[in-house]
Amino acid sequence: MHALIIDDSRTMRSILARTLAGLGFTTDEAVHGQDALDRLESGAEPDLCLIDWNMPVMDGYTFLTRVRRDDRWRQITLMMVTTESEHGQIVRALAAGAHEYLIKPFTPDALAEKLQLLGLTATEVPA
Amino acid sequence: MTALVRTDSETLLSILEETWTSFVEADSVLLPLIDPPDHYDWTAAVEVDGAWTAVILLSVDHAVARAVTAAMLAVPEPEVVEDDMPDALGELVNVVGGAVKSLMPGPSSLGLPLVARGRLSVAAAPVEAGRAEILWSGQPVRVVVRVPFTEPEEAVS
Repeated sequence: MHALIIDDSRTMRSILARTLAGLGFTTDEAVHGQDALDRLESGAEPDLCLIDWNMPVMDGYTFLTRVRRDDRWRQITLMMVTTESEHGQIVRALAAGAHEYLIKPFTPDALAEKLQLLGLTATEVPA
Repeated sequence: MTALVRTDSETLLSILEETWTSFVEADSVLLPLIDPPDHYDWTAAVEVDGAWTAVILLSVDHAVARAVTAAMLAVPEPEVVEDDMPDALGELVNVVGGAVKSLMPGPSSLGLPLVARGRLSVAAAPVEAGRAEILWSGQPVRVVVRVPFTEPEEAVS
């Protein structure tokens, strides 16, 4: 499985990349939504995108709606990973096509559980 | 008008604990600090704007900035360069700010974090609505919630 981590924080990308590596994923990183969109346009084929909401240039919600509008990327699983925890925002993201929504702060186990629910991994997080 | 909604220090301590144990050190122990310092080397801030408006500030000394950055990047402390620290502190205040926002009247949105050496001016939010002074790994950490208005008053815990 291959994941694209979309977050403007290098620190958060590092945390997510380590957790995903422990679950058997390979990863690439994008620093905002437009960067991620450019990577998809250039032929990147991730199985999963982890998407922060608040980012400069293009936010995660805009990226989500752009990806869901395009049939070329229909097979990609989209998960918001964000500090935005208001019910209205969660509903908005899920209605726009996000498959899952993970609120920061999260533990590696919480991310693993979400991925397991999505059928993307059966691997336990290493101790 | 945005109400002054106070955040008690126990709630802030709980938010910090969850943030630290998730992203810094799984077995972090955070304790209330009785005699906090006047000055910190780094301040990170994030704005909340909407039905509830506020600025959340996280202040730490250089040693804590280095330690949390090393922990979050999973590198030895000597390998941390100063350029890495604002990003790590910005992410921490972003997570803390999001958790504080989740307890407040909505809808509102988080801004992008801002990090500086020393103090950050928050003239637009002069009223303190919450504070936690804590000790982590023998080092002080401060979180302050500031709001622009003073009435009416409510308490959130």
